[in-house]
Amino acid sequence: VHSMPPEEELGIMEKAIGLTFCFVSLFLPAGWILSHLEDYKRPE
Amino acid sequence: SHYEEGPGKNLPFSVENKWTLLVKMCLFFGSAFSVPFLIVRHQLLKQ
Repeated sequence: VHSMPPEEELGIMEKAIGLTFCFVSLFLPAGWILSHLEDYKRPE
Repeated sequence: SHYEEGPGKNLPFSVENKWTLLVKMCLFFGSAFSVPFLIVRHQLLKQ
């Protein structure tokens, strides 16, 4: 078993896009819900 | 062995296209991460 150099090196733009999508997909739904917590609470 | 060998050949998903992989990973991890938040939302709306 041995590894090899990457078939293609990622550019700075591709890294930025990839990381941005990763963080947005993680934190956007959570942030949306957390920012609307008060709306979900029913008044007694 | 008759199985294909090499990077990505022993995985249950394709890593051929990096953008398809990005979308798949975002959906997989993003949906899992949002589940507890959706549960809280569901519980609050239920009252």
